[in-house]
Amino acid sequence: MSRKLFRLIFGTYLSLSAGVGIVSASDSIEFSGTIALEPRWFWDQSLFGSDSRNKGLSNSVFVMPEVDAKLSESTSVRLVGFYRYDETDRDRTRGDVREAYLVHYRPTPLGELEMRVGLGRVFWGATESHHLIDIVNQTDLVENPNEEFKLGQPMFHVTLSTESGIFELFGLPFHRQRTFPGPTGRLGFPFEIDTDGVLYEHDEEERHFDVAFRYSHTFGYLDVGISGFVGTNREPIFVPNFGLDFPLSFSPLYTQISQTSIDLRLQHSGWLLKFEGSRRTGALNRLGIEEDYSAFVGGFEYSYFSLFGTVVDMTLVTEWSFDERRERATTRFDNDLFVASRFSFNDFQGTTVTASVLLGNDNDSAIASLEFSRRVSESVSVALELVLLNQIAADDVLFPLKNDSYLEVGLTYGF
Amino acid sequence: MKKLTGTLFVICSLGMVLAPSVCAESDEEAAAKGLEIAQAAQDAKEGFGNYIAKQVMVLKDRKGRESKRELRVQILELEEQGDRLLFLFDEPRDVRGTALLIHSNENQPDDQWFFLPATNRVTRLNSSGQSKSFMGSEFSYEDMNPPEVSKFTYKYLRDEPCDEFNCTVSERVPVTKGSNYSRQVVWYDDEAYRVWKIEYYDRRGDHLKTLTVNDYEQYLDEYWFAQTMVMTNHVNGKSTTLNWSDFEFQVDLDEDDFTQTSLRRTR
Repeated sequence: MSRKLFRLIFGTYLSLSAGVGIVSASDSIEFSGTIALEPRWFWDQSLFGSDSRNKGLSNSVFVMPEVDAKLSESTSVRLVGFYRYDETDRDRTRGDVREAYLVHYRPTPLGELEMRVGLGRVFWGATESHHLIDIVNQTDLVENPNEEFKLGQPMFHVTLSTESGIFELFGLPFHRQRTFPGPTGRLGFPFEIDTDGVLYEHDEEERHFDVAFRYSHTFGYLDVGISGFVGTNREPIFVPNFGLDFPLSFSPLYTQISQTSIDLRLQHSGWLLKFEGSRRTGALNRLGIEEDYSAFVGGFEYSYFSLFGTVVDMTLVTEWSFDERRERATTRFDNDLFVASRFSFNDFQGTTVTASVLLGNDNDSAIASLEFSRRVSESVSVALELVLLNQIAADDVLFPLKNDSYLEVGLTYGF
Repeated sequence: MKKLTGTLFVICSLGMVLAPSVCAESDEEAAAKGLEIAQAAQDAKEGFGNYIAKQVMVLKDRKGRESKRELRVQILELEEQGDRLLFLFDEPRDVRGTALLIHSNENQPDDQWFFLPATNRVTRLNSSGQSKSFMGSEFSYEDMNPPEVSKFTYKYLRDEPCDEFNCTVSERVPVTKGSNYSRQVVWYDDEAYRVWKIEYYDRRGDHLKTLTVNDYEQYLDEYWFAQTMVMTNHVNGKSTTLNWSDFEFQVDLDEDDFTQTSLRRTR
């Protein structure tokens, strides 16, 4: 974490803590959180890297404290901290402020106005397999390769909810770098990433002020969102550091991009249709050449309730993701089919099982996963995640992870 | 229609023994009377404006093992449209912070959105999920949402005593697609049109569940709200007791508190 960012985050945290302090005497403040043990077992030796990327068990634990405080009827503060210790990967041992914001809302003649300032998490999108248009927050990739985990983003966020839709404006004064597994961590890269030598296209580097907007509205059973982003890309490209270093290291490079996107959710007689489409300019492709491109992901969700007369519900999800750059695409979602089936057992323990597979249409890659979760008491739950990566083709962007299949057993305590 | 007349015939044959005068009424009269009662019950409930309350659910399985759910509910009445409902989940811990927003629609399936705190994501729920179990309980999503009059067709069946009251018993058949029920039989008292019991029949016509309602209390000198509801499933032997408490009426709630924006603010 850079010093500037640390100061920014810590400053926000302190000022919000002061706000919390004011009300801490009252009962409008709530402390809660999560502690989890999450050992992962890798049964294959890594395809790349030294003996330090051994197969076997890798222990890890995280804590995520949360504070929610109401300063007034329409003003509140939320703080979410995060710290993970990882036995084998030093770069996975780290802390983050996931959320630390002040939110205030008030009625106006046009509709309700909401103002949010601090570190926040914003989600844009509709689909399940790939969050194509979700760009406000940086991905915390060292947390999980599924790209579902995000770092807290410093932001000014204004929302106006009117009769004719929700208008949102974002001012993003600081860019956060993507996290990566370290040299001793699994699910990493075949080369060393020089996160201290990160490169920016723009002179203002991480201080570049990014802006984003979003309009969303519900028309009957259709939810529509139109969004735009101008600023520093969240997804880096890697540039080799030709110098005296051996082995060769790579620096992440973040260029200036603009992205416009649309997302749709339509409910129709038991079916839920989902779509995300985007156009991005200014990004570099897999060859390191600037290439403007369009991409989309879309599909459907269908649920069967009370399966075979039992209380079990089953939801089927099928999505197709496509990136017009195809083999020059920087993500695995260049032309892939995602099929998943989720079972909810509706029992006391809230048991769910999800099986999914992502199949490459342009190559023979297949990534399969199986997830299971179940409560063991009112405050403890267990989750298993099995990820199979051994069917990745040699030309796939994820080929370096070919031997990194793993099983994670999570035990989570909520307080 | 033929089937319906058949059912009526059976009911009337039984009714004939108990209250012959009832079955002198035609189908149309029974339907009109049923609708009239449902409308009167609806009118008696309407006008509270809004309220917030706490719900504790105790789930019990066939072997008597128990599990608890805790949630808060906010309800807003609207003049021209269906009600707005917001459920905030507190217990068990792993679903804490999850919120469910429902916009009831008069003649079509409701709009439902979930807020998932882990990803700050608002996601639309499939309307066909009305029959889905609510938090693993014997209440379905459909049962948790107070029904609009226009969502059923009605038929008055009979009058009969229930506890210290006289009750009218009528049948209602869901008109919206996606309901888990072929019909429901509802017991209202004729004093204040409070619901005391509902029998739910599944699509095959079998008696699936029974809801019994108790501990009514009057609020705002006018509106009766039950504190205890027990849903018993006759097929799987499980039951769920829903306890309401901490009612607060006419609080500072309006439509802005039931939007996708406010849903993100629920915790």
